[in-house]
Amino acid sequence: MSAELRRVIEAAGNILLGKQEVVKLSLACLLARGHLLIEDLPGVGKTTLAHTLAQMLGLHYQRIQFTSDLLPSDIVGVSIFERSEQRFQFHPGPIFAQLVLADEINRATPKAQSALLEAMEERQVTTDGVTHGLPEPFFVIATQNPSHQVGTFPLPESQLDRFLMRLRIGYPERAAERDLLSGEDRRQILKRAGAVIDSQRLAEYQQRVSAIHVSDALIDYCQDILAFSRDSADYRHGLSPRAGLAILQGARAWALIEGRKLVLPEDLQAVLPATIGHRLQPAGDSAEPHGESLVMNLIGSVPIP
Amino acid sequence: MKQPVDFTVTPAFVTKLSLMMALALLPHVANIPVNISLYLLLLLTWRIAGLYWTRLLPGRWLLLAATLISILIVYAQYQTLLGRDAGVALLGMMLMLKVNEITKRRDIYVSVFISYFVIITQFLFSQSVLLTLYLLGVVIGLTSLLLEINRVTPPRRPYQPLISTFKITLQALPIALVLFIIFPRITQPLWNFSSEASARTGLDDRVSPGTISELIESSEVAFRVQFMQPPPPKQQRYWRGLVMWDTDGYSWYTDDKQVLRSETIKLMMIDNPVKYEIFLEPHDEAWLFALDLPLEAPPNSRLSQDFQLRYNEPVTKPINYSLHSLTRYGMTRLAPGLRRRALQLGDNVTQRQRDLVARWRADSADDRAIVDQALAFFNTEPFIYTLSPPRYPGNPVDEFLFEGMAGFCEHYATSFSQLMRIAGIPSRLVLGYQGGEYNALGDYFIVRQYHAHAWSEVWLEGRGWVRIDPTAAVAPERIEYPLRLAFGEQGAPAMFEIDGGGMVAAMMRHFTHALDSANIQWRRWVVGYSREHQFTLMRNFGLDSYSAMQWSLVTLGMVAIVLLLVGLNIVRRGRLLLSPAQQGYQRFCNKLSRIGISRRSYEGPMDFARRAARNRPDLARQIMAIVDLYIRLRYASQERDGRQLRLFARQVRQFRPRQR
Repeated sequence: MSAELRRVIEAAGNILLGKQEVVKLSLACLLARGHLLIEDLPGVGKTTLAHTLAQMLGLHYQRIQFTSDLLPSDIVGVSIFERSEQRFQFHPGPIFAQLVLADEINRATPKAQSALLEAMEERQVTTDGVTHGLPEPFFVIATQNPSHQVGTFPLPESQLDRFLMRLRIGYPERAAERDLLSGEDRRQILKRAGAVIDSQRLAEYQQRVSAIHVSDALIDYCQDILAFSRDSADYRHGLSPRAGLAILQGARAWALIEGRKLVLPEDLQAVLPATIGHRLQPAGDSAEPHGESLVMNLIGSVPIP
Repeated sequence: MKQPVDFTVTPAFVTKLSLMMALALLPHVANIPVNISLYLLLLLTWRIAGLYWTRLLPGRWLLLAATLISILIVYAQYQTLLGRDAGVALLGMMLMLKVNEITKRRDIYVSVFISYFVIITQFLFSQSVLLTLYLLGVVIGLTSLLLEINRVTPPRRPYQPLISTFKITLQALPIALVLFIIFPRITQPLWNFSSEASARTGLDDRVSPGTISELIESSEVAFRVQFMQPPPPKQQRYWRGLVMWDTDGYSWYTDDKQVLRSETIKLMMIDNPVKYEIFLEPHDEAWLFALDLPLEAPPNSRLSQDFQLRYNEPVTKPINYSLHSLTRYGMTRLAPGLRRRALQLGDNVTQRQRDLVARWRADSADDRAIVDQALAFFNTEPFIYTLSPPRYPGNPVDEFLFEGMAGFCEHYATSFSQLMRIAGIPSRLVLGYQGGEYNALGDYFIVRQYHAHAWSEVWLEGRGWVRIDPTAAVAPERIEYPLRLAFGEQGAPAMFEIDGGGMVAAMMRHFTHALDSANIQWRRWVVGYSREHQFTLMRNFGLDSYSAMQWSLVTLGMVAIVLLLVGLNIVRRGRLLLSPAQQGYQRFCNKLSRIGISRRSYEGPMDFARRAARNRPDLARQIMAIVDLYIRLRYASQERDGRQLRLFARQVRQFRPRQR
């Protein structure tokens, strides 16, 4: 494992106790230039995770709390008539940051949601005919409460597809939780902790992800997985080519974190639940709303060529 | 990473499998003795009880002991372990013992495949359509269990494997049908078990009073008949079997050598011949039945000069044949030798018989009148037609005629024939069946054992052999209506089904007729689909220019090509065309598999190497080196690097793990 990246993970692990795997995956998502969706109950550390990552990687961080009365202009910014200059002046919104935490995204109306998602996709914002580029790197961590909670607008499937990964944090283990309950306030530790790398290094790492080698054998494996999801009767829809790109990109980033120059099937399997869990729906009216067990079955069903 | 759901043998699954295995065996209950069936049930109960009280499950030694006991039981029952019946009993025991041994996935495969085999053995006993449908259902059930254990994900609904199997079966059906029709048929069966027959009921080649009335209790089917035109009336539906020329006064028989010599017979046709097809059940004797009188001999049989059909071998399996018959006919000449035989008498002729005949002779102008007198005698004297005739131990004919006066058809036929011979009229006894029950659904007649009948034929100058049925003179209902099979006390008159029974009886008859009809079609088109039928079909398609051998080769060639194409498709889809690196890796995995470390199909090389190294730290270095090379070849896209490839191949070759 790359030493620098390991330090990032370890440092983040000190704050988000017992969640190494989640930290690693979210770092992989970031290195793969993808956006991250965290879906879990309130209070398990979604915001902390986003905050920690921003801190460790030395990113400019903004948080947008999504509410049902949030307007698109509250996200992207607004043009205001400046009397002194006799013209409209664009006041950038909170989205102009390197790491944006879109908290509880499913509490906002679809209109506000799509403003964010468009910005994510295009990596730029257009108001009044003027295009404003977003900072580089640009990384959105959206959090979402489980959709069966009251007063939410669950993201439609097409929007879910824009997130490279969907993670769930889950409750901490007993020992980790004990440390959390008995130890110092995590926010204080976070304030003290400095950045491990800066955005310059981060950009370099992102470059290196693209250079990780993907062999024909691995592409075969990826295609077999896509084909299985399309042929099997267990899923409502098969995976899209974009899902295939996401899988490979995620696997590359994972391989980089593991310190490899090439992608192994194991890397692909490691990122698979996070990259396709939100893109797969069970066929029929299954009681299982999340895709993780579906992904496990899929991994078990597709032999490695 | 997490593992997919692995299949574990659950009690529910064992119950299902045991049930299917028992169902596969069930029809054999009719073929094996009751005590063996009970023993099999005991073995099954043992397993089911074991589901609830696990302690009951037999260990290895107990199971071995049970196996030996089972073999001993079979041997005690049959005095052999070979042959159809003992073999099936043994197979049943092995199957039910296997039920007690289902613990692993492998046991399930073995159990299902033994069950398939048991299902095949069912056809050694019966090939009826009902059994076939039943067994098809069992096959689907068993296959769905195979499907269930081979699923990676648990089925969403419990009956889903069953539906899938049903679909697979439907998909297989056209292939089965095509192969059934075109695949060359074997004329000789591969096994010849069916001759190992139990005693079958049927007519004997020797008749004495009482032989037919024994048959009358059996409702087994003797044969079925389908007419190609409107059937003759019931009074003419006499089914000729054997003709008896010789008598010692007690029983009638025939000396084959003398009668079967062929001779040209001039026959006058009074009516047009009737065409029909007979589906004969096996009766273990070498003769066939035909409507009185057959005009030709079906394949593998001869027509004797007294119009018996002799088959080349005992009929041990169902056969069909088509025939023409004349119901009304005349003949001109009786050879002197035959006339002598037709007048020969036993030593039981008494004076009162001679007196009776002399009285008729005095009152009659010709032979025909004597016949009428005799029939009138049976009709007017207090003769009784009974299913339970008294025994006539001394001189049967004499005691029947003058003392008992109660008898069944053979009593009347034998006495009548003997009286005719005393009167100097050549006569002979004919044995066969009379009537038959019409199956409206299949438009054919079922002739059962209780239709067995005996009648006489007398030679009248100018007319030839004339059928005389003295039974009809006593009890015309015998010919008109079916017998009611209620056996009264000895000598009680027979009853007849004149009203056709109640509604329930009618429904039952309707049902049995429907079933019988389905069976006969099944036998005609499926079981009876012979090489001859196949060639006829080929000729209709203009394919008859091939010889049987050529045709076999062509069919086999076609099958081979189809299999090859299917196989290639599987290879292409399954990417079984492996690269050298993959082949090497495969060998490496196989070697590890032999020492108990098998790679799961979804397990990546690094995961597998780590697991293997954890299991066998002594091999860790070698394993890691090989997997490292493999990863470089395969995932760093260096497969074309010949040097590395050779290194990899050598390392795999030198990797010789031993079981610890």
